[in-house]
Amino acid sequence: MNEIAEKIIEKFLIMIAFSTVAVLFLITFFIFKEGIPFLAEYGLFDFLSGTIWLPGENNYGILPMIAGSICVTIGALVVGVPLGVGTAIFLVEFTNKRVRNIVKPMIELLAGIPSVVYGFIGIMVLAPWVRVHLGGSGLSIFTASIVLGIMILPTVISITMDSLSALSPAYKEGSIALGATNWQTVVMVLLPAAKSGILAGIILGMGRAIGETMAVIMIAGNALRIPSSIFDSVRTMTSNIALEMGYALGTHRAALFANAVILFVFIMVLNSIAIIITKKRHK
Amino acid sequence: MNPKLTQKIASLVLGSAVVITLSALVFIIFYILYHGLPLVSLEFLTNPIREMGKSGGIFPTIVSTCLLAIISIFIAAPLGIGTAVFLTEYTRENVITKIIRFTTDCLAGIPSIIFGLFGFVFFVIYLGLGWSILSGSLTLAFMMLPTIIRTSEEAIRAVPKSYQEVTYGLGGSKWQSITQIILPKAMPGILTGIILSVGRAVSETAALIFTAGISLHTPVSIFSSGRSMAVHFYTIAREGISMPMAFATAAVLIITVLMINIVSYFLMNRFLRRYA
Amino acid sequence: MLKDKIQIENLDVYFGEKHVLTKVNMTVHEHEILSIIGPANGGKSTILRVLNRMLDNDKEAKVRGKVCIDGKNIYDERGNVNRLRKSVGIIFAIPVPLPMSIFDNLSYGPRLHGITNREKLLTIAEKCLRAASLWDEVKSRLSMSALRLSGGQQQRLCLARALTVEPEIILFDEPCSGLDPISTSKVEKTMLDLQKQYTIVLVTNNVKQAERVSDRCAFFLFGELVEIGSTKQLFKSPKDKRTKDYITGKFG
Repeated sequence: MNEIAEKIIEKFLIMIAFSTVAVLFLITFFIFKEGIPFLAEYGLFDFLSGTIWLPGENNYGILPMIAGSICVTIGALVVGVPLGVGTAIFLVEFTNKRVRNIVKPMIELLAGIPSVVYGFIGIMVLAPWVRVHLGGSGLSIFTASIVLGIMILPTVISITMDSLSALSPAYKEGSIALGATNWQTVVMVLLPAAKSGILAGIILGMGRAIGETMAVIMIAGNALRIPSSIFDSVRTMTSNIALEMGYALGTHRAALFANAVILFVFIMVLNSIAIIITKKRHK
Repeated sequence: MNPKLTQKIASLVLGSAVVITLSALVFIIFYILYHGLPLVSLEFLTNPIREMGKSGGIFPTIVSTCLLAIISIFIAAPLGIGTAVFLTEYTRENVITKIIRFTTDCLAGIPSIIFGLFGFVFFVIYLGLGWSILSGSLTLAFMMLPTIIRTSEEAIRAVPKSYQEVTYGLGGSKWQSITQIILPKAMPGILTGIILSVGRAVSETAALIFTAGISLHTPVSIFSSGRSMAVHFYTIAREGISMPMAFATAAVLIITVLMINIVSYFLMNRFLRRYA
Repeated sequence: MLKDKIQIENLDVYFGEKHVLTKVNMTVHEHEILSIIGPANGGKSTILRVLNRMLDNDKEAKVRGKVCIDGKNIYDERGNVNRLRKSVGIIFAIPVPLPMSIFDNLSYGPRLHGITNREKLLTIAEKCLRAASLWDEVKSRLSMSALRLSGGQQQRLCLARALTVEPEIILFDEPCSGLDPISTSKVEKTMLDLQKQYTIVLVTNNVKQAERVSDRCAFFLFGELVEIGSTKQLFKSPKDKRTKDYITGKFG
């Protein structure tokens, strides 16, 4: 193997390594390219605060969708965070390695189920139950929150488990030595110590919930209005894009891309926050 | 309140969180398989789609899904593994690696609908590839990159540095140490990441609708359009075309995902056993 | 006629800001066993890694000065580092058998340099195993995993492996530090046998080992070559007080 060949390989690998940078750049460029001109013409403020989305009459207000995304995400967090963090705490602090080795793969399996299947179960099982017992059409923020909450469980659980496991055993030993129970140790020592990691996990779960499309289309109802109760049907930004992109033309299509721009920026901000929190933790 | 009592209550509450989580999983799997598996037959798997999905089978979707998975891996694996090799072997931590890691993390967080839109504008329209398996595969490949890079890096770092020193001591070059020792020893870990990515490709819907299209026919080349199993399932479920068909398709999807997870689980175990 | 195999002139080595080796001047004669002794962190292992340019992989390391093997400066820009490492073999303190069969361990080196013929590989393996005094113990189980050998056997395997690429110089970096006395004496005996064909540089923490095995001895302290001379003379009447104190165990 001569030195020239080695140098060529190295240069080649440098190029390959920049593929992620190139991809991110391309995505940002093309999404913005399609969406920004529309925003410039229609007006960012009007776009974000407009409450009427009626492409036929040139009305492109996405406030209902923003509200929809926020409600559904908060709902998902309300369901997913307690379940997820609770499960993680139990698995790390209240059970042994054997149980973990059985449960962890099962949680990974939960992550592998396609989102469309989740949505399907929502339509076939959850929505009818809600309709019968709680009224309404069954396709609402409430239903979506439950399904989305379960969908983000794997993310929240695994990051919380990692954060707890990464803590120095000295924390736990010190607390137990003082006579504290397991639970007291968790609440007073471990959770505060792991809080930035857990927070990062929650933010990532939030990102997943906001970005979810297929399941939400199937169970949130897709109504074009700002919700006033959790049993209202809503449309999220993602559903809006996915539902109308198939037949949108011209300005309509540009508006959907503008919607994507807003979504993209939002998620980038969320992810950056999560990354910063994680980096701080590792320091 | 008595700490011992709080402890008991806490473990009950937390334990029920676990039970709820696992019940959800078990319920989903059993519900789909119970209603769908009986409807899955050899005919179902080998017949073309008829009446928009109301009857017939899902053979075209199986072909599309396989093509999509294989081609996207073909594109993503060299890029991802190459990036991982670069990050571990050719630099130490500096500005360049920080930038690459940041973009990788960002990519991991981008929702599939945005990948779908990007794929539509870039591959389908700008590059003129049209709605095709190729457009779909390229889009999927971009989505898989972060996972493959992450798992490959971990796998490579797990290989002891001393093996490399042995190679250098014998007069071997860096590239030889990578191809003769590091990659072979890291292969199970790398493969796990690839298999997990295949799982993602199989489940993906939003990205594929706008890139690979929804054609009902079996794709004849990578330039043909073709709907994947997940896309087909979504279409017939949402438009209420046929519930039995939907269940059957879902059952096949679930079985596929199950198999993928089982394979990657055993592969990861074999890898860990060697070094843990 | 004692030919100089290795000549080190005004060698300085830095790890970042740390000055690890200071103005080292020394020669190693062909077919001799030179031992390098001294307390930890004295730069002993670093000298070895200068000789086979393993320091190149450490981005923090800076090497100044001239290091010649057979008259040619090995730090010359045009030199091929892989060819250098082929001719300068190294045995590490902890044996590192590769996770493969004994035969694969021994054919790994030749394969790196293009030899693929199985007959040839077997011949090389046998020759080197004999030279390392390991042939009789493993000849019937060459396809067994090398990880199942004992510590002493693994180290001899690593020695045999180093021999497969036909080096001219062999560096030993505290090779017996993890071994029991019997394995240690086996390795020492092998070193003495190999001397006829190779030039050997041995870094050791064991002063008695240096006395047993080497022709000449060099004493390093805090990166400085304090004294170098024939082993007999150095141990009987060391010229420098620091050498005397180290040898007699006043510090270490």
